Formats: sequence, C-alpha cells, structure tokens
Amino acid sequence: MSDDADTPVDDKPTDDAPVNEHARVVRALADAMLRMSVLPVAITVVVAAIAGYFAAGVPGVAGAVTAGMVASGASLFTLWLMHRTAGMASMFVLGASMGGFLIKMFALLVTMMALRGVEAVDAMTLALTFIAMVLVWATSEAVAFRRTKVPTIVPGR
Amino acid sequence: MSNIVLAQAAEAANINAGLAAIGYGLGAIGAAIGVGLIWAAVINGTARQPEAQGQLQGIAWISFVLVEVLALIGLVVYFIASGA
Repeated sequence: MSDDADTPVDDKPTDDAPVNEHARVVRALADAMLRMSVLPVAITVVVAAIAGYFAAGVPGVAGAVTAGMVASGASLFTLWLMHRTAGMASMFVLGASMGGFLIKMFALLVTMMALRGVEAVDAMTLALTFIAMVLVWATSEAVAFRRTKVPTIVPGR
Repeated sequence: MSNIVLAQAAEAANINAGLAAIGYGLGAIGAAIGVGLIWAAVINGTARQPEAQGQLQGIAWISFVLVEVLALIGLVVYFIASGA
C-alpha cells in the first residue's frame, strides 16, 4: 500500500492536509452563485404562479410550480457538481460537467414528455415559466460571478 | 379547392413536430460546440499555467451555465413548437 491511498480526494481542510486553494475558489464561487440566486428565483416562481393563475387557473399555478422545481433542480445540480469536482483535474471536471448536462437534458425531456397531455398542468405556463426560470438562474449566477472577487493567480502550495 | 387547402393545412400540422425536432437538433450543435470549446480552453490553460486552475474553472463553469441555457431553452421551444 502506498501513502497515496490515504490522501484526501476532495481536499477538504483537515489538520494534517493543506487546503486546496483552487478548490476553495470554485466552492466560494458556487456558494456565491447560490446566495445570489435564491431571492430572484423565489420571486420569479411567485410571479409566474400568479400570472399562471390568471391565465389558466389552477393548472397554470401547477405548471409554474412544476417548472420552478425542475429548473431549480437543474441549476442546483450544477452548483452541486461545482462543489463535488472543485478539487479535481480539469479533464475530470469536463467529464463531470458533460455528464451532468446529459442528465439534466434527459430529466427535462422525460418531464416534458410525461406532462404532455396532462390536464392538471398547463403546458404553456410550464414552458414559459421554465424559460424564465432558466434565464433568471443564469443571470443571477453571472452577477454572482462578477461580484465574487476571485484572485487571478492562486499561489501553489 | 377548399379540400385541397384543408389537406395542405393538415399536412403542415403533421410535419410541424418533425421540423421542430430538426430545428432543435441544429440548435443543439451550437451548444455542443460551445461546451467543447470552453473545456478545451480550460484544459489548455491549466496545462500552461497550473496556478490559474481555480480561476479558469470558475470562468468555465459560468460560461458552461450560459451555454447550457441555450440548449435548455431550445428543448422547451421544441416542445412548444411541436404542439405539446
């Protein structure tokens, strides 16, 4: 057995292991993205639910809430991936991000196909709310990225 | 004459879903190229300057999110256009 087997993979700070500064930067960015997105996303779901109620009644509200849950789940999955892959080499992050992308697209496809023709959920409200949610998530995350002070060069260990 | 018009309208409705699928497939090419370019640049940049790995991955993730939005919106627009 070599000593490499005892090396912590995710480089979380422990007493005997140095902190991976690169992972810390990515995790700080993911946390900032989450903090920045919570309020705009909640407001968007509420506004979409109200608009859906006036446009299509209770099915409109159901569509807005469903779209909010699916879109938020997709975005939270991305942030979770950022946390999980923060300490990995770039080539593994590439694989993880593409795998996550594939899972998200498949989940969205299954959701849209499962809800096709369901009377209790208004399809147009669902679609428009999903687009709005995705845009709000992306905008919030971009703003968080801009506001996060990430150092250009992280000194080595 | 009106029967011909009705038949043409029905046929147009039938091919709508197929056209929407083709359109989404073409749109997905852009997102695929974008994601590939993003991570290729990160791998290159990290290989050239390992000290910048954290910064590069942060930029890559936010770029990935923005490109991913295009693909997600495209899928939803496909369902709208195909008459879901």
